[in-house]
Amino acid sequence: MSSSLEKNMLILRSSDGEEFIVPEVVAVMSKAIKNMVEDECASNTIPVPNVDANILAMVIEFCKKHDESEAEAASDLKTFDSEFVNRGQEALYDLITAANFRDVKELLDALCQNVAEMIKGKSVHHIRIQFLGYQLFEILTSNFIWNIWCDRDFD
Amino acid sequence: MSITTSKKRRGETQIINDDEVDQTHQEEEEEEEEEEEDCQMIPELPTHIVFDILSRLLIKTLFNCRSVCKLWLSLISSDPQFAKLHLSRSHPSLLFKPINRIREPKKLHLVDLQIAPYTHPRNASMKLAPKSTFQTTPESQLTCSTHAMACFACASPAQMTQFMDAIRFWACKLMETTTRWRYTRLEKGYGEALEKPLAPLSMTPLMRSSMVLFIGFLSTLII
Repeated sequence: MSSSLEKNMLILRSSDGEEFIVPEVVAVMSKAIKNMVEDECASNTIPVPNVDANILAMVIEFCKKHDESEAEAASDLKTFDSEFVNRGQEALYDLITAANFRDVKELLDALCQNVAEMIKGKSVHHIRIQFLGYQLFEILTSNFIWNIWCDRDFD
Repeated sequence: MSITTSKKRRGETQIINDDEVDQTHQEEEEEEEEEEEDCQMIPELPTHIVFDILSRLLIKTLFNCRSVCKLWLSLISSDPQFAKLHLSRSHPSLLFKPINRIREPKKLHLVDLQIAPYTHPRNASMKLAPKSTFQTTPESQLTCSTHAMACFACASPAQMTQFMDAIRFWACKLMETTTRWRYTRLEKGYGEALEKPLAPLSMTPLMRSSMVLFIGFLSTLII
């Protein structure tokens, strides 16, 4: 009994010590974990540093859904993806970092698409404030300089 | 040093000594560092992720993004890898060249076929003004027209191929023999983009009075 559990299940430990029991099929959606499993350098507990429990839970949820619904319609998966990535900016950045670090391609794709949608149709100042952390007064004071810089020749 | 700087503020002419040059250089460097920190403050993302995100944007948004920060500018307008990735992800578009009897017009109009049927023509099209004159002979054929690049092939004995990069307003003529690999790559991108079905496009007055540069498969959708 325990051996079969060990075979198919992996335990992922987040940076703050919480443990998640995950089927191996789901865990290997992360290429980094897949490499570790293939090289047999991992016991059945795999530490996932840099990723806290909250984010790891989200990533696992995403991977589970994708694993289950492989046979389902692609449109269902798409709506799930768009709902899944529709989060606050901070969680979004944490998720991107986690997905990049663990190398989960599907998640990274969905997240990048979402950020692209957020950028779409916004003005330069808006993008600077929202994504680059500029303060409004900085924009107002440096507006003149920026305008010169923006209008210069791009060749 | 303080005396010289105060003199500078008063606008008096002075000889700039080496120390002062050093100082101004230092100041410039500090400013640049600050800017870079700002760029990485919220994104804190590796460059290849920013690359990925930007390549999913429409060209209209990309024009704005060019002036957001230096990192983005260098990614968008000087990275050939970015142009390739963006081309492979962009929708098929049409390029219109208005007909003017008096002089050869420089401006081109790019219409995004993916969003054109659903929005106002103003939102789907954009004007491009290449810096160098972009001449098309009657025999030349637009073989590829997507967001990042337009490619014209000419059936003349010289076998001339023209490329126009919409992002950098850059146009160049290339002999087909020397750029064989590049030419085929563009064709491939164009074929992939066309596999998706396209919705019919309603004509605007601008389109009626202009020469459609897309000769071939897509022109059947317009007429």
